[in-house]
Amino acid sequence: MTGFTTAVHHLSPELALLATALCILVLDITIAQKSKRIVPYVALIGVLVTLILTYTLWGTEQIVLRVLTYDSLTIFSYFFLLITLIGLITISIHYIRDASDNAPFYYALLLFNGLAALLLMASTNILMMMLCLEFLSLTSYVLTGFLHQDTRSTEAALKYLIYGSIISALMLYGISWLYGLTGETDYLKIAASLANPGLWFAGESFKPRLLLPVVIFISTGFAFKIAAAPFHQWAPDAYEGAPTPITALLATIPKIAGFTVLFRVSALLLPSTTAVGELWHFPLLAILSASAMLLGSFGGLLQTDVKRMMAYSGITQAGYALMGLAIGTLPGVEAQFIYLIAYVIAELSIFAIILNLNEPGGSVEITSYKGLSHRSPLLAVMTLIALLSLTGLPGTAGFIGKFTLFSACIESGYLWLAVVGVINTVISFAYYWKLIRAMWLEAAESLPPIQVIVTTMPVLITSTVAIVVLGFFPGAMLRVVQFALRHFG
Amino acid sequence: MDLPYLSALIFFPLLTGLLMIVLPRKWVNVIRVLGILSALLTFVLSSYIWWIVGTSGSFEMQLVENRQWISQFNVMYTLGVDGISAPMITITTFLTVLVLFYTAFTIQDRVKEFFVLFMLLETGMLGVFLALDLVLFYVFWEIGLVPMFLIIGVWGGKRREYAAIKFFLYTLSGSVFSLLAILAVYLNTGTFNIMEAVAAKPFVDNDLWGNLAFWAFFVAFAIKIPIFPFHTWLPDAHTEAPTGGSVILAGVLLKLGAYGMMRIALPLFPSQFYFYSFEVPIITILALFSIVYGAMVCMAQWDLKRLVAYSSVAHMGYVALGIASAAAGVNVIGNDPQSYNAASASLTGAAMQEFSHGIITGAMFFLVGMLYERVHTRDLKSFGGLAKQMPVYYGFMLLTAFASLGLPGLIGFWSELFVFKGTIRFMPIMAAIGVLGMIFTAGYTLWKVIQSLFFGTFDHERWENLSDLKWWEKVTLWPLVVVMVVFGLYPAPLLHTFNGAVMTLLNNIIAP
Repeated sequence: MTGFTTAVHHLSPELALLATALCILVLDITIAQKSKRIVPYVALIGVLVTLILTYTLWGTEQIVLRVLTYDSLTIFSYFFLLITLIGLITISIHYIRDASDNAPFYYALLLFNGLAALLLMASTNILMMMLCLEFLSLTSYVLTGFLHQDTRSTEAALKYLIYGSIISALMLYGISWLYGLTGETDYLKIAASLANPGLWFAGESFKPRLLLPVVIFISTGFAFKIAAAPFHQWAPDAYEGAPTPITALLATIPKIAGFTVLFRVSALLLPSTTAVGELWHFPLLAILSASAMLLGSFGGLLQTDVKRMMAYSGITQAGYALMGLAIGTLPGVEAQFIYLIAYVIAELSIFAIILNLNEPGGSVEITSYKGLSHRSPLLAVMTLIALLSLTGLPGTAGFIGKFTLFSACIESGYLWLAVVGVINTVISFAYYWKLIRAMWLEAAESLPPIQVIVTTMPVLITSTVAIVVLGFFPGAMLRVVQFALRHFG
Repeated sequence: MDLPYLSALIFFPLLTGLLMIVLPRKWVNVIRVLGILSALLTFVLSSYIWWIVGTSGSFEMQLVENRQWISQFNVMYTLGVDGISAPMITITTFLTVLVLFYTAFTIQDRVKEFFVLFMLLETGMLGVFLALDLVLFYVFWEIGLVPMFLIIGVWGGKRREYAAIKFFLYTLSGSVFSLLAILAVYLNTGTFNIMEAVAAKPFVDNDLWGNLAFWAFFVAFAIKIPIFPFHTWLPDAHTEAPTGGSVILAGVLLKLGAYGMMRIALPLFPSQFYFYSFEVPIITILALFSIVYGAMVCMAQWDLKRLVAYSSVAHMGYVALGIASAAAGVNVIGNDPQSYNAASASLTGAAMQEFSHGIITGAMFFLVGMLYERVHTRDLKSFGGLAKQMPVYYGFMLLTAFASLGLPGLIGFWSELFVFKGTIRFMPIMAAIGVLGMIFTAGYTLWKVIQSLFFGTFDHERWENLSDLKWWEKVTLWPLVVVMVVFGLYPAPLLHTFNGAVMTLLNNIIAP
């Protein structure tokens, strides 16, 4: 508990983001319609300012307002999220300009979504975490249904909303149980209390599995956010119906925020040193991981809509990252974050490419990729590289992610998880192959060449270069993640 | 020698490929010439490297480069060449020159992409042969997959999509399991370096982990070699690939698996390899299946290219048999010089067979492709009596076919001789069954290939206008034929190169 100025200093990134969002809302009311083109750039400037302010917090170790913790992990995850947000804003510019009259509102919502994610990643209190999770979900629901003229967008948002609300209720139930047992809301204090069952358990012998329902209920919320099976059913519909930049958002921000908060919960609230934490890591997280990988791989095989396919791919990728968390060791968690970085870069690339392929309101079938190697060799090669990264082929950042994951698995003796992961690598390629086949192997002489949208170019180039460079020289990425997790030994 | 010859060798094709990417697509001839020149330079460099290895006087790894790469994982960028890898890189570059030269005349659409992919493929192949770090090996191995899969898929025959995805998924499945095995080796020995890991003798107590890791490696390499029953991707891939693709696939890519078996699987897991080659001889039996069954399937083929594809399975079976019989002797070679000689003979024979099969089958696929260019059919039933119409082609095919069946005086003979020399000592019955394969090989070669194509009645209406070989086709074939004859009559330098390195390998296995 520190002074007001320290609190404001640490909250400056969030405040900057909030200020930008409010500024955009004000601009929406005040300026003329045709001047509203500057709004995305205002948003970009705001995020850049937030990024700089986050940088000034480097090296800090502080608990703010009793509910937020600023440490190396916070700074790392903030950077990660804000850079992703920049990418999302950039790829939205062209699409939203054409698709909607409400553009400033869109950017404001995007920033609010980012704000929710930032607060979520810094929270170390179950109430704060719950609030931020809801905040994140609400903004995501609205953004999913942003194209309110388009029935698919509204339908997707409704499905997402209903599903998410039920899950939130379940999670809140589990969390309230924790509070009821221990009387604490801070992660560390709850963990200390759980480690000492005598404080709240009146019987003779406490068996950790008595807390299994609690642990399961709590996991539902996180699994929902990161779209891990069996709480993934919302994802294919939401991804398909949402406007494409929002699909990109759904594929990246909830996962970044979700995994970060899941890690904090796993490390602080339910560490594997306690008996309950043991249960949390294995079997719960391990089973979630395996089922996500398997369901995602097999589900994707039948899809013909590319955005749905990416949803299932995202489910599989969430499974992989969970593998790192389930192991419970430091190398495992490092592997989770490395994998996440590679995943987000690849997703941004793929969605930026999808934006170049479809018109607002249209769906993207695999046939839209037909003959892409003729129509735009650049886009075809970039898609290939991104897909290879998701498969985990060497030379890509995705391989580094998979390598660290399998390495951590084998080191800890979780051979079966690694085998499941390896099998799914092959299965998931089977549906990425459909895109590759359409691009390279199918002729499309009648289709016109594609002009790449200028505002998507920065994201395209940066992500493709990042995938390849990080695939061969991952040192920087590895050091960053190790630094972020240095306190979690 | 401090110059990084090996890195230069590996990355020169890649740099050429990157240069080609920026060239305009319309500059087709520039790209072709650039590709051929680059491949030629790479060939010269690889020959020089072979010469360095041959004259170095030592049989250890030469020209070793060792740099930090991913220090967080203890993965080093380590390259080295010895008597087994030097001929392999030379045959890689040799076949690449010939393929690019031939392709310059035959492929007309999307030339730039083909050449770029081929340059990338060459980098991958060379890297596999030269890598001494397990992760580096794996990276180069996988890098070679995507260009090959695209080459089959884009420029291939009627069922190219199916063949390409089958090839890719099959090979990918094997290799991702080997990634787990690599990690297991690291866990056991603390290093990814192949030489150090062999010296650290992991998994000697033959426990479950050791067996699993061994099988993971074995299956990954067995898929590539291919050994029955992991061979089913090969007929489709070879048949549907464009000629240049088939040549490099059969000539080099299959050898990646055999090389991996020799360099990694055998030295790291000698006791497991021994157990499954000798006590419970699964591996030996599978190798024999490849030889005999492969040859019998060839006899039943009426598609010429598919026949040659299955003959690859049969020929690579000898490689597998050679490695298996060396493994079968692993327990006794330390004490018994005769067994040591037999083991080194069979391993040398296996290495030699890799080389000779590359040359012979490379030539066969070129010849099949040349015929297909003219007639657009590979159906053996439709031919006959071509000997008079295409005498030069007949000459080349006859020579290649005889080399394929192991006629003394041509290169194919020596490898089979040495493989059986070794196998007879450890597993005489298996050797006897293997020799059966040679009879079937003679059968399909003489009957299906020579007789169906060249003897018999000549169908005048259809084939009246068949032209004999053009100048560039002859230029493609002559180097291969010269190698077949020269090394067939005088294999000593080749055998000497292999033998020295093989003995070092065996010594590393028996060392305490």
